[in-house]
Order: sequence, then C-alpha cells, then structure tokens
Amino acid sequence: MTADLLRLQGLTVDLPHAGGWRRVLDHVDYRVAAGAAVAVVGESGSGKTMLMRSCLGLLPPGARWTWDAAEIDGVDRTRPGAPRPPVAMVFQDPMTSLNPVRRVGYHLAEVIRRTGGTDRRDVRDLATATLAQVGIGDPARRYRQYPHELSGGMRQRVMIAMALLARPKLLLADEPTTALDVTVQAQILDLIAELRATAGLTVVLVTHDLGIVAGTCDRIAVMRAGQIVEEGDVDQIFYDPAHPYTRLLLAARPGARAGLPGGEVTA
Amino acid sequence: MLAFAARRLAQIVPMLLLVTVAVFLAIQIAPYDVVDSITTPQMSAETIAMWRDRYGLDDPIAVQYLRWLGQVLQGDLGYSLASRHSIAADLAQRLPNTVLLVLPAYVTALLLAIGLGLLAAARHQKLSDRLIDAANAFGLAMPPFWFALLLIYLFGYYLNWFPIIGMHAVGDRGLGDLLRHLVMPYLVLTAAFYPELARYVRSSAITQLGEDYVTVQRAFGATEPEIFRRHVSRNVLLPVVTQIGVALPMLVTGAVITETIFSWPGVGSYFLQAARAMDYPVILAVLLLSATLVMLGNLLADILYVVVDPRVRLGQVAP
Repeated sequence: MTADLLRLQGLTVDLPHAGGWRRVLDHVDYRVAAGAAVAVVGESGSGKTMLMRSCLGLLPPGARWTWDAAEIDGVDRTRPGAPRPPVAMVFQDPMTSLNPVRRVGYHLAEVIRRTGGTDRRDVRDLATATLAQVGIGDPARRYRQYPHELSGGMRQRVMIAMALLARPKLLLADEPTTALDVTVQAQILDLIAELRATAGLTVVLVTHDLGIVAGTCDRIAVMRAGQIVEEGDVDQIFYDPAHPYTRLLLAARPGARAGLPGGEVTA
Repeated sequence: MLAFAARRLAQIVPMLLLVTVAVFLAIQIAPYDVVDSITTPQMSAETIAMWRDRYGLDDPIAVQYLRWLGQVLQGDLGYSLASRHSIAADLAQRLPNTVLLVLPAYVTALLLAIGLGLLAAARHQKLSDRLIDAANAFGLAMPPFWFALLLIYLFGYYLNWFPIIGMHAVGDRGLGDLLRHLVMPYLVLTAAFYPELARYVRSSAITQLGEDYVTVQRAFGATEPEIFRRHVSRNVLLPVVTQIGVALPMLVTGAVITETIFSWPGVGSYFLQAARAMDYPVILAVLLLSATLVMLGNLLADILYVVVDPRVRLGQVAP
C-alpha cells in the first residue's frame, strides 16, 4: 500500500451567497494514493472544481473553509508558513488561461524562474525542451509566439508544459478537455496519461464526462451536492454502481442504452 | 501600416471640410454678427453699414464661406475681425501658453490616475479602495470652475500665496513668477483630468484581476505583487497608452474654462472671446486646429494600439 499523496479530511467550504452562505463542499474526505490516476466526476455545481481549488488555496474571495486534516505529500497544508505544495493545475479553458499580451515563452520562463533556474539561456532551452515534450512542433517558434497565435489544443499543451515546469508530484486537471473538440480531447488525454508514466505524476482528472474516464483512470470518486457519494475502482463503478446517482450519471452517457458498460441501467 | 495611415489621413480632408461648413452655418444662425460686437453707440448707421460691407457680411453665405476657404487653402488663416490681428500670429503666441498649462496637468493626472487606480484595484473593497473610489466620484461630479473658485478664495485671497490672474506680473518675465501664476490653473486642470482616467484604470484593473489567467498565475504560485507587476499592470496600461492619442486635442482646447477663469493667455480664452464676438475667422481657425488634432489623435491612438497590443493587427478594409 503506497502512501497518500493527497489527504483531505472533513473539508467544508462555504461561499457567500445572497447575504447568507451556500455550502459547496460538505465534510469531504478524499485521499489520492501516490502514483494513482483518479477521476472526480459529477454534474456541474457538484463541487468538483472547488475540491481541486481547495488543494491550492484558490477559493473565491470571501469563501469560508474548515477542515480536520489537509495534507499534501505528507506536509500539513494548514501549518502557517508551509512550503508550496508540489501541485500543478491545468484548467478548463485554455483560451483564457494565458495572459493574452505575454508571449508563450514568458509564461514558461516565469514558472522556471520561480522553481529555480536563473540563467537566461538555460531557461529558454528548458522551456523549448518541455514544449517538445508535450508534443508541440517547432517549439522555438512557439516560444516566441503570443497565445492567440496558437490553437486551443496547442494552448492546453502549453498549460501542461507550464504545469510540468513547476515540477509537481500531483497534477490536477480540471476538465482539461471540455473546451476542446473531440479529436484534440483524445490527444490531450493521451498526453496526460503518457506524462503520468514518464514524469511519475499522480493525476486527478476532474470531468463530467464518464466516457473519457474509463481509459485513463484507475479510481473514480462521484460527487454530488458537495459530497463524495461513491468512490471505487473504475470497474466497480462502471459495472456495479452502488449509489443511485452514479447509476443516473452512467445512464446519462451518450450511447449508454446501446449496451455499453452500465448501459442496462435506466433511470 | 503606412497605407493605413495614408488612407486615414486622406479621410481627414473631407471631415475637416464638413466641420468648417457646420461651424460656418452655426455662426450664421446667430442673431447678431461680429460688427454688432464692435459697434459703439456713437457710430452712425452709415459707418456700421460700411463695416458690414468691408467684412463682406452682406454677401450670401456660400460666397463668404468660399472666400474664407480660398484664403485658408492658401495657408492664410486671415485676421481677427474684432481686433484685426493676424490669427496665425495670435495662435503662435497663445498655443505655447496652453501647452505649458495643459501638458503638465495632463501628465500629472495620468500618473496619479495610474498609481491610485492600480492601488485601488489591488485593495478592491478595502478601505483605501473605497476612499479612492469615493474621491474619484466626487472629482467627476465637481465642476472645475467651482474648484477654481475655491482655490482662488483659499490660495489667492485668504492665504494670498498665489496670483489669481494671468501668466506674468507686470514687468516680471522671470520663471519663478511664471510658476507662481501656473500653480492654481494647473491644480484645477489636474483635478479636472484625473477622475475619469483613475476610474478607467481602476475598473480595467479590477476586470483584469477577475480574468482566468490571473487564477492560473495564482495556481502556479505567483504572489499578488508578482501578478500585479508582471501581468495585470501591463494589461491595464496598454489601453491607457492609447489615451495619449485621444488626449492630443486637449493641448489646444483642453482648458477653455480654466484659462478664462484665470485669464491665462492661451488658446481657450482666445477662443471664448472670439465666440462671444462672433469673430468667425478666429472661431473657424481654432476649431480647424482642434478638429485636425482630434483626427490625428485618433489615428495616433489606433496606431499605438497596434504597436502595444500583439492581438491587434491592421486589417485590410472590410469587404
């Protein structure tokens, strides 16, 4: 049994809402084993994204959050002055994730400088090498380009390159393919899977699309209304879902009735 | 870029013609003319008619306009009908005075606006932001002439620190004296230019801070000062640069009221005198200058935008 890379216990988040509070995460316990690839699924507003953002302390202004335990890589995140956790995040919309008036290279170089290297030439070499690693052709040219000169899939690759340069152990991918078209989706998911193997990453993939989970992840956590309602191995979730909501989610997949796994379950 | 500039410059000519026609017609609508403003009760009806005839005011409007246009096209702005001074000479004397007043005030206002606007955005919803925003709203609502009167009362009359009129004391052409005269109109103009710029900087910085790329930067461990220095301030300041183009005509007509209150011998007070006297060659000359600067300023703003923002490229004319 490997150690947990991420351990959250009793995480509760409230957001200010119409003069009161709205609970977006309700006593969530969540663990991710080192080296695993796990998925968090659920409908919009179920708290998936908030769960990921909590890991990085990126909650909206005014949010109120409490927890019993929050550990990343064995470091208690709640301790004052705790070092930055080795976590990087890839976001949903690559079109808006990069500063439009800064070059691709500027974004990458910034991350490199923050994690160490200072020599100007080293920075560019490392950045272009990483661009090549995430499958971007002609990286030297891309390095000098502005985000709007790149396609959506290309920008998401740049985001992944930024994430890699932050040298994380845990990669949080928050619906990384939602904004991309289908063929590009597959490429990005393949890339993430490949990097998981080559860079030894632990990956949490957040999605509302169960179709992309089966091939990429070992475990699934199903979220609804701020709680994890079911968690288990991919096979168990697909073939023997315990929670009625999980069955609903599975039935909601396109083609679910056509006899794909879970297809015989109807709402 | 050159073709774009040339095309835009070519558009300026018909625009200017339209402006002069409109102004000329507007002047004709007025129920009195320049001769009414220079007549005295002692003048006989024959004298007055003689002046009207000499200025060609009895000719049809079209004739008057074309006569004026013909002169201007030969590079002659003509003479003031009220003072009979050369307009070109008057402008050459007054334009530097206006620039001396407007330029420092605008630059001060712009720098203050950038500093305080960014500060307010960084402290959004906190006390310092509320104070700055309230001051901006107050400044926007405050008429400059009222602020000028307050300053005149406090510094000119009550404390008696600064002279309230003109550019120079009689017989004193020194720099110190000039600066003492400059203080109050400069303050008034700075206060007039500042609020709108500051609100613009503040609101665009707040918008930028809500953009996704800022969240991404936070996720990648950038500190708030880093995000501000390396991303937000640049994105906010790019459009501000283009404001410089739009502000170009201010160098001529940016201070009409302030110059008049402080009897500052600039283009603004010159223009106001001419408007009161229906001195149409002067009115037209100043408006021609100002309209030219508006158009050149807009062109400059467009070009600056292309220079500073990598996303904007000059396209061909839309099909």
